Amino acid sequence: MQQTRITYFLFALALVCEALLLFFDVGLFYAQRARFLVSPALFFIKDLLAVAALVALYLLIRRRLQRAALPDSQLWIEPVDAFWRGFVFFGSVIAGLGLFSLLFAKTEFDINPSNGIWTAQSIYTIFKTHLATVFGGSLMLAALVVLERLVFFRRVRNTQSNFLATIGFIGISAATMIGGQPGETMSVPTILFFALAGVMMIINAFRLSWVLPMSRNDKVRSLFLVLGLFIEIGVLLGAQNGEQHFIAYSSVVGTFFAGVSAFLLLYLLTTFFSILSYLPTSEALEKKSSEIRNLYAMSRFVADMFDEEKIYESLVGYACESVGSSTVAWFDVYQPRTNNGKAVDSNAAARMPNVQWNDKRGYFKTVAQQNISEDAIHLFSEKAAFIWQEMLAHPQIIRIDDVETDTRLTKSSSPVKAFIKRLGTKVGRGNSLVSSLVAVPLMARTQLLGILLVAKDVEYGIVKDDLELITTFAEQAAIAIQNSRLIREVIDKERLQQELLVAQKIQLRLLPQSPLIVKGYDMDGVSYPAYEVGGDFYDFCDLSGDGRISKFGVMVADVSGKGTSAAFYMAELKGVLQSLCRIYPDAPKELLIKANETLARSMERSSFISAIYAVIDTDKSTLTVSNAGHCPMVFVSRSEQKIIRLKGLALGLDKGPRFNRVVSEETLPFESGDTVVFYTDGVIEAVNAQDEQFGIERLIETVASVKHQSASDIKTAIFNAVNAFTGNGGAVRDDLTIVVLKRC
Amino acid sequence: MATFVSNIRTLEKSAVIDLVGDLDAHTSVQLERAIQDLIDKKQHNLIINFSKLNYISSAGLGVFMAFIDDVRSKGGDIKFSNMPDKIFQVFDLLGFPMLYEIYTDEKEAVEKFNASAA
Repeated sequence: MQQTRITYFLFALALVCEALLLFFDVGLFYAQRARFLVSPALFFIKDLLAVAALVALYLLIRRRLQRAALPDSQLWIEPVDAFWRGFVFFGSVIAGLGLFSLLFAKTEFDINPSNGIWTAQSIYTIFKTHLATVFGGSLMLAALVVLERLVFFRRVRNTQSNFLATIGFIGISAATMIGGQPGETMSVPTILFFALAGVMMIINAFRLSWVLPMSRNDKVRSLFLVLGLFIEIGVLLGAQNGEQHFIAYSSVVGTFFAGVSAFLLLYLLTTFFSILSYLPTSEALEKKSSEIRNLYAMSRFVADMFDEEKIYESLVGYACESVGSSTVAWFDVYQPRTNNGKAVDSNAAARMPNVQWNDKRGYFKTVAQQNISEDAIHLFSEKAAFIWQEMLAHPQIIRIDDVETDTRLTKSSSPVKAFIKRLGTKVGRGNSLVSSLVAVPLMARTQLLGILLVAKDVEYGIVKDDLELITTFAEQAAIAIQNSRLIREVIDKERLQQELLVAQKIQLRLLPQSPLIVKGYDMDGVSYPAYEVGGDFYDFCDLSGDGRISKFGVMVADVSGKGTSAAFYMAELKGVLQSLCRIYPDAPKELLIKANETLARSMERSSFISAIYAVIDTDKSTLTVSNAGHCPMVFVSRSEQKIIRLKGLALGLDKGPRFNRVVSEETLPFESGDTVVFYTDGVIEAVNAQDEQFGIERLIETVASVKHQSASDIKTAIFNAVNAFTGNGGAVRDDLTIVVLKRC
Repeated sequence: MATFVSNIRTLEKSAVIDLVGDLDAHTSVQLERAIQDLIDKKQHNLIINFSKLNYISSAGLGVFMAFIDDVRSKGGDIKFSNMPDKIFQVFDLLGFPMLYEIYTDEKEAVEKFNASAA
């Protein structure tokens, strides 16, 4: 509200002053005509009014420009834009005044030869004076504001005082003219201050910091506009007698405008030459600043880009943009092979069919390209296969300055031949996209990630600066790629962990939740996996089928290998056992033979299962045991202790013939007080710090020492004995399973 | 972490792989790679020398099973030699002596290969 009120006040002030001035001037004209004597005081009042109008107008224009300023712009208005508007407005004023002079005759002044005082030729002269001053003067004031902003751009300590001094000297010089009649000669102080102002103008005229950051296009446009403006202002002041009219309006204002226009013309002149001198280097400057921008963007994206393919694309894009026009670039990712000849990432291979190089160690694939077709890349890579070969052997920057004469590419290096060949390519098949090239390896420590290739369509097109920049990009991208791969690895690992968790759950469910309850018998079992998922298995099965258990089986097995596959084989074994145990309730050997047949068919060749299976007949008080490559059973009775060794072959090693030939079974009496222990190799292969194994003898001793205790206690005693044995520095290297069966 | 090294020597027409240290689920991958490399180089007469092996797990045994059919179908074999008692017990328990030839000295295995080639 306050702002608008001030604006209205200023506008009214300027308007009233101007109206009064016009009134005085018209009166003065007729008074002079009638040869009345005019009081000099009138000129004094006129000057005061004119200065008031000028100040009001200046403030109005300044406020207007400031309000229209671009946000965060010191200049308020873009220089090119300012020059263009100035050019148009000055042009319009010149045209308007020209038209006025054309329509009305006698619009200028006559000079009194005796005292040099000007007199208007006609009443139209008065009107032209006012038109020229109001419009031309407004433009001058606007130009002064723009000038101030340009001079203040990137100001240093003295900038403001220098500028204010210039305006101040012009003002003082103008003020000394107060009360003067148009045409009166300048006094000494006027000239002195004007000269001082001139010196300050020269100092200010070299404040041109705003020229450098302009784009090349803007510089070219500005150059012409500045020239145009210079001419226009000259025309306005000279050919249109603008200066004379300003002075006729008011000698103070006229002198002030004389100073401002001198300042303006000088500044335009220095601007013109400054732009002219910066023009040839502006392309290089633009390139440099775009390089800095790209570098910045590239470093930003290293921090937060995890999509590998996007990294490739950005890398190629930045490289292309930075080296300049008609640059092509592509990126070949390197995929090493694993020992069995399979690619690390067969999925990625399927998605990217354009292989550049392929051998036993690995292959390169183009995964991102710009300004060049796949065919063109292929054509080139056939010719320059040595690049990929070299990169594998010694990853370092390879630079080819001229594809046609490089000895690594062509046998003949005769310059004449090369020239003819080049002529041929230019006339014939159109321009080759690749005439000079650099290949930069992307490294993660010593590992090659891929190659960035940047090429230009001219020979010697890539200079040292370009190469440095490309190398920087490559280094940044290598870090980004490494990051993204590490993150993917972590994710994969987590997924694996999840899988293991599932396998662990499966495995825990495969083991019996509780032992069988059989009258007169006591049994217990336990299994501790060495890792998340082990390969040990045990189970009890009721073979009688009616409520009273008169016959039951016990199995302990060890699946080779660990992890998920072991868990699944274990599940298969449990299925086989549960389905076969009722079919062969009296013949453990037969059960193992059938189990082997089934498992050998389905299991992987490198996997196998060692298993021991025993059937206990409570009516006959016997135990029949058969062993498929498993640790022998320990038998402890009241009077003796022994190991029941039986010939046998692990399940899944042989399809049948051998297994059936060697597998055997043995039936033992199983009386009250007898104890048998089944276990896996984790028990006897546990080692102490001296690398001695726990061994079967220690196991027997342990069992014998606690044979009077319950099955559960015996089991715990064995486990504690193994733990005590390994103690500090030893280890249970495998899963550990113990099953104890005792007849009470 | 168990340490394991496998060294390869050529003895006449056979390749001898010396196993040193502990061969378990983790280190067996290393042995797998070594044997695959030999097969890739068309070496199918393989002798595994166990004299310096301290421990073998079931996964380690699986390595030999994984290659035996392939090697035999190409006219070669995997023969074992110089087994310490401790290691032999593990093989014996599972019934491996029925599937593989086991020699007290690698020279016998070499001679066996030479004889079958002649």
